[in-house]
Amino acid sequence: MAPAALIGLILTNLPTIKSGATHLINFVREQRLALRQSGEWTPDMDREFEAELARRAGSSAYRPDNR
Amino acid sequence: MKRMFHALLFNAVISPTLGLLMIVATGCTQLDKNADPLIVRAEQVEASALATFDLVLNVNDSNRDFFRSNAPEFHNFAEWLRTPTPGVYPDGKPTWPRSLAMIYDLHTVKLAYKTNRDAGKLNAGIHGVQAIIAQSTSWLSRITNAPSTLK
Repeated sequence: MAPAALIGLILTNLPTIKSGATHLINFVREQRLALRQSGEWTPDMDREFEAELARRAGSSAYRPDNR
Repeated sequence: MKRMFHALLFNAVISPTLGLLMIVATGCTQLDKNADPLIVRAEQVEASALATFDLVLNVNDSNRDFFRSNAPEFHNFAEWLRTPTPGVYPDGKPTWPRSLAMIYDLHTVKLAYKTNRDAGKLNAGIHGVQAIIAQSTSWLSRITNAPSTLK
């Protein structure tokens, strides 16, 4: 294909290419964010989780029938 | 004719290339470089267990008398999750409900794994809690899809 035809093709489809590229960038950004959230918890998050367990331990839904 | 050729070329060449790029871009990404996949898995199981057990216990607690008489097996399972379990807990209480004690146990094994690297013990902990999650979801599926009178 002649270079001119290729440039013409790209120019004709520029809006679609731009839209596709935007989608691609957003998709990769979301994936990176999701992966960052898949990293290990920080010590603060570990402590928050323990506090959450302790809070639920005192909740009435966790109390057996005879108590 | 020329437009048709362009459209065909776009669909046959550019779109697949973009698709391939997306696959390559996501296929090559990994966990955070310092994250240990086993620890991440343990944390996912901890969070999932807390949400699942909480749902079972709250559904049961919403009408204990009803479940006790109409779905005794489900009620017994909820009571099993509530059974006070002795241990050393962060709030200083001598016992915690079994559901939370199991999660806390996995949590402490996970924290210990960071120094002792005992993958076998952490894997066993993960599988143990996962088995109870599976039982819980099975009960939830049966209870929430049962007719209102159950029996």
